[in-house]
Amino acid sequence: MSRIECLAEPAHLPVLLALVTELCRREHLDDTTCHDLQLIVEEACVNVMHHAYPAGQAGPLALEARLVQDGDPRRVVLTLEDQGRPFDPLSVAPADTAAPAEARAPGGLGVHLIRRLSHRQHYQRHPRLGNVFTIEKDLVPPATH
Amino acid sequence: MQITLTPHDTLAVLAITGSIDSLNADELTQRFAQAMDQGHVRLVADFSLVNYTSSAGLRSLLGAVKSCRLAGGDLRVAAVQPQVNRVLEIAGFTSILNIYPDVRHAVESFTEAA
Repeated sequence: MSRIECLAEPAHLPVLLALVTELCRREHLDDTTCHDLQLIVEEACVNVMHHAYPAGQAGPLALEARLVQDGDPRRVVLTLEDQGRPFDPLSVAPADTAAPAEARAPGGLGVHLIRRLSHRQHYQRHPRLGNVFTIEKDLVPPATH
Repeated sequence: MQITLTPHDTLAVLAITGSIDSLNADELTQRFAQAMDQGHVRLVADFSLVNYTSSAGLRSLLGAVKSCRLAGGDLRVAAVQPQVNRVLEIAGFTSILNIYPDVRHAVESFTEAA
């Protein structure tokens, strides 16, 4: 298990991404899985950095990445915790990916990518840990994803 | 990420290298705006050396394609690599962007339309 705690500021994004890169290297995960995990972590962390805390008052962000071997399927579990305002990222309106360019709104794409590149997502407002966002990516995806 | 802008007669090619992420997407947006400020509303984004884009890069592309089309031009994307293309597909961008197999075809598509 790997865990990083830092301030929820964009400058810390490379360190957060490095946690996933290291997991991928250590566990010999394939390039596509590693790419997807990087993208998921960037989108989830940037959401916290932009929305959890008031501007200029960044608070803590913790990222944990672990490989779960027991049970089926083998999977990577990412957990983000922050102490910002209660916010369920899964409540964001889904991006309308069928709309023409001129009707496209710029928001919602990050969560859309997280949903599509992972297999399970869960949000909980924990009394002590704050916002807890858990994302699971199976390493052997089902045939119909 | 590195960006090289090459003006042609009636269009400009932006060759992008590396990853487009939350930390550098603003730079890409500025380079698109800079090209438009120079009078180029027909742009080709060469993605042959782009190995990653997050939603920040997608927003930059969306803004640029809207601006170019409003001005009577277009932003066309060339040589998208499989990993990035998968992200474009998931985001529904393959249906709103004109995508070409390489820069030559993207450039010629403007010539044919002229």
